[in-house]
Amino acid sequence: MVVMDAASQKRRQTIIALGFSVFFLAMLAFGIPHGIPSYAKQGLSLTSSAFYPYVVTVAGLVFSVLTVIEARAGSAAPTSDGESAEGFSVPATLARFSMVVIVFAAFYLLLIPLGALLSSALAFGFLMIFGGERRPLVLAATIIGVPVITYILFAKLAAVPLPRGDLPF
Amino acid sequence: MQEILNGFDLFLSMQNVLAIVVGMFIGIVIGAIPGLSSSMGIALALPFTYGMNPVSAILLVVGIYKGGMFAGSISAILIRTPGTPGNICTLLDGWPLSQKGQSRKALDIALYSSVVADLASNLALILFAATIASFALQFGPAEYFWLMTFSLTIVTSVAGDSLFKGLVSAVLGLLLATVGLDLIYGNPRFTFGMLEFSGGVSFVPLLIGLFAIPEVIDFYLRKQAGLIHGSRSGPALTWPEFRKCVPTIFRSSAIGVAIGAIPGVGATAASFLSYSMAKRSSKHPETYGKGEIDGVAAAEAGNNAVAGATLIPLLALGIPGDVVTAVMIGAFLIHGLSIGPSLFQTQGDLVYAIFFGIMLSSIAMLILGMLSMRLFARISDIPRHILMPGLLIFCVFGTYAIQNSHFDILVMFAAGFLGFFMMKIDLPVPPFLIAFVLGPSFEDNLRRTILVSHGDYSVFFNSYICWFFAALTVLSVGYGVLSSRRSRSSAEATVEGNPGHSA
Repeated sequence: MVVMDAASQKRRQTIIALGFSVFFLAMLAFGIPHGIPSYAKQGLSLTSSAFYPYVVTVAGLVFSVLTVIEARAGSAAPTSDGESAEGFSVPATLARFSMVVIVFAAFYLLLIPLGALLSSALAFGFLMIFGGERRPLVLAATIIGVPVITYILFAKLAAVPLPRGDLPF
Repeated sequence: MQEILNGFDLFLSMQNVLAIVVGMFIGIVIGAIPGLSSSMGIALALPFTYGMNPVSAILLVVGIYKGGMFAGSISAILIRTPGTPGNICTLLDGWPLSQKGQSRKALDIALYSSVVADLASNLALILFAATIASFALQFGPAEYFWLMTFSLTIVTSVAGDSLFKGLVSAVLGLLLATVGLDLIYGNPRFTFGMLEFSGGVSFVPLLIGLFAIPEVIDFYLRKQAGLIHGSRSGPALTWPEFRKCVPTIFRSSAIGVAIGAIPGVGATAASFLSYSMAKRSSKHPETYGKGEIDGVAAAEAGNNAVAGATLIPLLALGIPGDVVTAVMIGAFLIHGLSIGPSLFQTQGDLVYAIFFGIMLSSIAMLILGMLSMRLFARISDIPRHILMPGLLIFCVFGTYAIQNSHFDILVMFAAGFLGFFMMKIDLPVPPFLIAFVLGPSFEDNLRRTILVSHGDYSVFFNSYICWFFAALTVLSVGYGVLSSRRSRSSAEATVEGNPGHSA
């Protein structure tokens, strides 16, 4: 794993901390007024619905500013670089990340129309191949075996009504 | 004395022994599967208790409860997915041990510390039920507020290298916990018109997402994703290693019993408090979070000691300490038993029969735990390119199982990407989760105290319990800041000694 030098790390930590400060400021300016409808009526009285989130957000802002100061002042412990892991180039990492997002999204979207068994078998199969498995027998056995066993465990033994799709079981 | 003998006589039947063993077995299976909770297991088992005698029925559900509490550690250690919220802390050291190829060791210490804590908890239940219950009754909103404040200071122990980053993470957890209807007025907060968020962000999907999904994502972004062969479960726990953990186990058991006796606090807080105490009293706190056996022992002893102790307010006062004991009331009602002080007066022999069964449950946990460990430890040997897609399916099915909600799966995936993002920017997840768990109770008690005091803030210091927890809070924060500065200084010394190093 690549570990950054102290200067780059300081810069990175500062940017992250500044990001949090911006987030908490945005919460105070827009998030609370628009996210809590009763804020317009109750304001920020001690027992109002918005008071507690407001205080918590102010605390967050203070802590994030302190994190900025901490990052600027001292060198933090060595951390991972947060970039491409174990040798993948950045574009390749982004491509793989996008692929994972697509698989998760497809699993989520297909769960109801296809049912838990079929959608999980599809997701499992794709991820097995994506993970490097190429042996046909292992693929066939696990793509059928793992989803079926998990399905039986949840749907039949634990009586969880998993989505069935068009399947009769 | 006569009641104790009658109770023993009532307990002594094969049906009762079988009930506790079967209950424990069901609990272990349910607990080891993320998403399936003890409360769900008990709810499913309740109809089967109609035909049983009252003692067997109650022992069956007690077995499920205790088995589930212990077995949640299995998935926490092996696949970084706590089976129950009470096992969150177990993964802090259990998962790193697994990654080092020492999952067998982690599972062993989880089992032994769970059994010792369970035994201690059972003894507390039997010997001090009435005394502890009356102490717990003295907790009003102000006392709960201070207890929650003190519990929140745990974040300083699990903040990692930067205390302020840990605090930012905790604040984010507190903010997320405000989503949903306001507990006092019922006003929506951050729901943006979505009915699914009215009850807040579901905890278990969040939990599964934060811990399990980032591992799955990270696996596919690594080039060495490949196939790992050979046994990775590693050697078993040795006697000297166990002996080293004994003080931690006893201390954590005491914390768990005390927390468990207070209704509404729960195993998660007990587990984090125990872990925090263990880390602070250790000569090598820097080893915690990196695969310290003592950390697993503290977390597991802390949460399992709660299991018996939550029965104290349930049996002595009729107050359920958590969701599971609330569901357990069903078993009493089905058999026409009214829980509370009258139970001890009118059904003394039955209470003692249950106590004998509960004592037996610790032995059942040890035996069944040892048998199941051998099996579960093999999970570490499954090649990760097969384990990870399987874990994803478990996460999706387990999340759906909680309330048959498709939306919960979306929450889980969103939490997964949030957890992955936090991992990449080195923002610690444990403070976020502690704050999310304790946040609603913290806010609720703070606002209730303000409301009932009508602006008189002396109510926050009107009892010795308030003063006690306020003092603990100050000490805990002070200690957290000091130890953070100390660890920062040593980190700086390391960096200065190795400028621009790479690995």
